[in-house]
Amino acid sequence: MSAPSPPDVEATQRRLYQVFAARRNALPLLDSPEALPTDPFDTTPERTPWASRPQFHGLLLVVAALLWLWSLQTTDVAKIGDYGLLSALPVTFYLALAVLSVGFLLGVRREAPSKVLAPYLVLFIGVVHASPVILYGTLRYAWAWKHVGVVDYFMRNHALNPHLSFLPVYQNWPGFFGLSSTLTEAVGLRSALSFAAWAPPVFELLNLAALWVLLGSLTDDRRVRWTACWLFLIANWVGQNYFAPQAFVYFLYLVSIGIVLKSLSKRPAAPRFVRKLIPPLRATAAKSAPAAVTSSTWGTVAVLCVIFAVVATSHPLTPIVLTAALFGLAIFGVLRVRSIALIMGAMTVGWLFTGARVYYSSNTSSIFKGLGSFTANLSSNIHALGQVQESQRIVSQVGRMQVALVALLAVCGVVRRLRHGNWDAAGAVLLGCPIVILVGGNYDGEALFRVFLFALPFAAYFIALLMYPSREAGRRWFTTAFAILVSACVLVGFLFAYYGKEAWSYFPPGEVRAAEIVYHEAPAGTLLVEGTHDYPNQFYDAERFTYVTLATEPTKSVEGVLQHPVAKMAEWLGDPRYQQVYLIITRSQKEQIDAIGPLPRGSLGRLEAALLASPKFQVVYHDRDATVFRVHRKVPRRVR
Amino acid sequence: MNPETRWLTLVVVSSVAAVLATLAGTADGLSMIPLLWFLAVIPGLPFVRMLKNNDDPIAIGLTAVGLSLAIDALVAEALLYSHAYNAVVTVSVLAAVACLGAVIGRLRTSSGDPEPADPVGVRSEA
Repeated sequence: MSAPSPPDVEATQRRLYQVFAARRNALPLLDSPEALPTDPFDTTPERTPWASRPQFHGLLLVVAALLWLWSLQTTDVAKIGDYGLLSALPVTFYLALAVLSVGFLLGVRREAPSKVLAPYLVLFIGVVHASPVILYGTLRYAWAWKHVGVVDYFMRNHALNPHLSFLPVYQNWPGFFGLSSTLTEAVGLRSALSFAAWAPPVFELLNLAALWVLLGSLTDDRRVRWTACWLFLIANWVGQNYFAPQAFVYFLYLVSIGIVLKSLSKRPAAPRFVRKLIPPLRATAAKSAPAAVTSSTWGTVAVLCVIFAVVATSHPLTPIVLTAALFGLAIFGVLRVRSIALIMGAMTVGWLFTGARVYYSSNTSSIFKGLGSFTANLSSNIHALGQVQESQRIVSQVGRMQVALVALLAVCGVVRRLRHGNWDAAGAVLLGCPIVILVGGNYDGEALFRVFLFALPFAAYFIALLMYPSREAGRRWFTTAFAILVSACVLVGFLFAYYGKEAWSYFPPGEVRAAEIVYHEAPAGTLLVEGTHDYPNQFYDAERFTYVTLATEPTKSVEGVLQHPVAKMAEWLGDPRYQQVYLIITRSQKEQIDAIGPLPRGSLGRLEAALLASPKFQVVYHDRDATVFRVHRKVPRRVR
Repeated sequence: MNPETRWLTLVVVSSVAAVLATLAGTADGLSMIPLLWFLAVIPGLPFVRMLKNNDDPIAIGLTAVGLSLAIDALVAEALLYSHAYNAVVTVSVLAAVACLGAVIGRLRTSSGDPEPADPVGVRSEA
């Protein structure tokens, strides 16, 4: 008997399979439908859920991009009002964000590939952080202008001067400015203003990449990784991504922690007393044996030392947080090479007593003013809401509620992981270590927000773990609905807190022109009187000026000016000790005063009107956004 | 051309382009693009490749960017402190550092140095 030909075998197998399948279907199902074997001979194409299809996500991304571009076309920045940019943005902008949020979270649910999910985050960064750059056309934030001024100083002087009175802290921690000066001068630009406005989207992209790599060392669940990256982006309203040393060093902080976790760490088991305390942890053990220290390990340490050196010499606060993080990781047994904590600590202290000794010795009392005053430092940001405008009170409270929500959800994430028997020592240490900032000082009232900034990547990680505590969990629609709800709440908080202060963070072209006239025309030894610090200032030849800010003058002096504006200002602006004296009043100064004080509401507008009506003052520049005054003097002006 | 020679060529060409762009200082994309590429990636790239710590291209790229920016800042700081700073000198020093790193990497490969052990122990577990 001859053997059947191959097609006969296939036909027999097909018939047998159909018989078994028919019997199986006749029986009540014990398993879920997904557990049953699929028909290997079924030639009909498998139905892919629509949320898993790249075409679906491509369509959503195109829709979001079109909505965004349309919103850019229809936004009128003149409508920026009590709620900042929120007042001016059209509904298409918010629709773009909604499409991105829902599309991304559906993609995470279906474990869409990285090439599908990454564009959502990149587009989100574009929508949120590039929009102000495109819409404004001028550099945002007064402090960014000052930082451009520090770069200008280095480009003109080609040397440091730690004794300089103009922003001395940057002469003592100059790393970021050295790098920026190199780029500006090498390209042949006259000022860092040419590119500084693009810092927020660039730093956010860098932070996203750094966080993606870092999270890869904490989890192998891609849903957790992507969700944490998303939460980090939508919660990070602190605004420390502008052209500043903090943004640069924060990126290096994330890179350092990423390298440490990837190459120099292990996953320790929970300590015995913790295992006794939390029953689900009893079965846990170290997840990886400590690897041997090799030449490559020391190469990694050398790379870290270079990055540590720049962190230590570029920013006063970040080295302290990084040192605390490394010591925390060492204490909890995460670090394989514990000496790197000592190296970072030595660099931080060493720089304070060498490169930064001038600043340190002249500011010792202010540096250590808040040392140990944990509650005072904590509350340094949480008062004085009674003095602010109603809209700004709402903006501030929404931001605080978002911080509270993120903190609460992160703690819930830690608890849920512990209940699942997971000991996330590295993540928990890195979440908690920024608290050291509150012990160290109030950091000009920003301490709490800096704690939030440094804790946020790991808070986002634990919130993602709250949604997906294990590979098996989080497969139901409930989890996706919860993720969308959390994202919506966090995103609303972000939009209020990040865009809500644009009334005085945005500088219209008139303000910039007025400031340029002052800074380019004024001779050395000029006194510049300003309503507040909040306008484009100190960006060019800044050390030639003496600055007097009305908002920070003694109360008695301010009262005198407000009661007799013409007489007092004629006296100030005629001060013979200075080559020239200018008074600059701008729209953003008025907005800031009206929103948060400390001068009486409308006071700068009344001062401006009184001086404009007086023949004693020469109006150097005037439009609806800014006015520059001076008095007629006999002193010859320097022509530049 | 073997891969190591290709890396060496990339670093050397990028470094030369950056020095030329600095000398030209055209204040437009012609200077900006090669200098941004050089400052952001090249000074740290040869050293990160020497580590051979992992095969994840995003991690290697990110570490190269982080290390490059750190080296840029460190060199600029040193020159600012020594009152020898200017852009041409800074970019030239950075180009020298990058080329030196690339040459060392090339020599280590050609001398048949054993591949550095994997610090996370993945290879030994396999």
